[in-house]
Amino acid sequence: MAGTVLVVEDEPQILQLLEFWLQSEGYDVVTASDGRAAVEQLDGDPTDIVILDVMLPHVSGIEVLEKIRSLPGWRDTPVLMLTAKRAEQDIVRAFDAGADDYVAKPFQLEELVARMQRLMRGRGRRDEG
Amino acid sequence: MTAGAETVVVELAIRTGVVALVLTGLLLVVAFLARYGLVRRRHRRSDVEAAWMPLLLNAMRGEVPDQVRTLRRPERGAVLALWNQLADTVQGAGYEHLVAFARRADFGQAARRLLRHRDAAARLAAAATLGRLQDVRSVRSLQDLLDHPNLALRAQAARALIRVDPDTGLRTAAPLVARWDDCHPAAAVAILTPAGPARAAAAVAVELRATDNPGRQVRLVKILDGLRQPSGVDAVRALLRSTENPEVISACLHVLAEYRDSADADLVRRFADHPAPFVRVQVVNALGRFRLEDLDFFVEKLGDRDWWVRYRAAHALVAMPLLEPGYLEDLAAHHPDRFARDALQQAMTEREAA
Repeated sequence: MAGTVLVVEDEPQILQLLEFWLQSEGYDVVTASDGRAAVEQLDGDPTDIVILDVMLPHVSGIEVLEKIRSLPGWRDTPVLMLTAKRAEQDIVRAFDAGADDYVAKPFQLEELVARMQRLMRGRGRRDEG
Repeated sequence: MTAGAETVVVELAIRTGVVALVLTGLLLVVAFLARYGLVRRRHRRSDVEAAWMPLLLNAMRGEVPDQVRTLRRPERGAVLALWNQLADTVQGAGYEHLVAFARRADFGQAARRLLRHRDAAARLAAAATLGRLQDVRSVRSLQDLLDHPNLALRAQAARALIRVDPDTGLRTAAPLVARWDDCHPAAAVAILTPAGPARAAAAVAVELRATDNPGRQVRLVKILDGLRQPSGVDAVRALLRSTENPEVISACLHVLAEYRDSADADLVRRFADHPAPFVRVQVVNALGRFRLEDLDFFVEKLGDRDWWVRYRAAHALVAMPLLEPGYLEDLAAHHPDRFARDALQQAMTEREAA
């Protein structure tokens, strides 16, 4: 297994796409379809990485990210944000809140996986250090 | 009142009550049927999506079965909407595989038929599909949609035409989006961008040079602002040198502020004493963004008669990196104009709080 990933995305079809793609790449995928459900997932064991949409109902992606960064178990989990194209302000806010990287929609699925792997390798090196 | 009259009143009341009861019953039946129809449509749609989603997901990985069945009539709208949603989300190989799958399953034919559907959502999905499939056979039908009262349909048809053939599509769409006052400039940018931002900017610049209508000029300048291409900025500079309309000047200055080329500073300064305060605001804003050490200019504008100009000038001063320590504090304490001191103190406080 390549690792565990929490995917937070409110569009059911996109969530299904990401789940399918990441599973076929060997990831164990946990999903949440809105910000509130994502925060509930944070009560469980941390995943190896989080993919987080910025625009979410109930609790925004930025708020979920802030919650992740405030929890001791999840604090060091790499977070990759999904943003709309040309959403510069969202990107700046996400980095300010502690995001590790972002991918703008429309994205290349291969690039998404490559960025996830890079973040997870970086985390692995930090843990060893 | 006589007994006969009383009987008539009672009878009238009973009849009115019966009619009201019947109407209420009918209303309930209509509401139930509408709700039932909605739930049924939703179920049907989710059944269709459940059947097609695995096919589309596998197709994105390049795994297409030897036999792909064509779309049945009731499936068309839901499947094309789903396919477009996936196509909106991905690019690269996944997108190309999706398009290849749609060609193989003859989504083009389904979309051409759906383009005549009475439901606008179905027609939107159809137009988007035909654009993505670069379906030359549908050009005529898409062109017919360009004067539709529904903006979303018009916009989707224009975008589809650009996808089918960028050059011809742009020649058709650019003059139209210049005229569509109900279409926000950002939406116009989204319509034109499939042709490539540089090509789109060149087409919009042609429209800008061709019009002397100030309202249309402002609109086209805002579209060029969204496209952020050098050729577009050149057209904006040329317009700024020739126009006298304050709204047009303001829109042009906004573009130059966003473009942040300090070589434009002299052109921008020409409007520093313009009578319209919103023009002076744009001047200060632009020069502030150029990051020039234009200290005297901003100190002078700190005393402008308009609050927004003073406020922007104060922020430009606060953002200057190479000022002597204590300079701003001294200015905020001793500037002869009370309003200038207020503006500077406010900007300094906002900077500290940020």
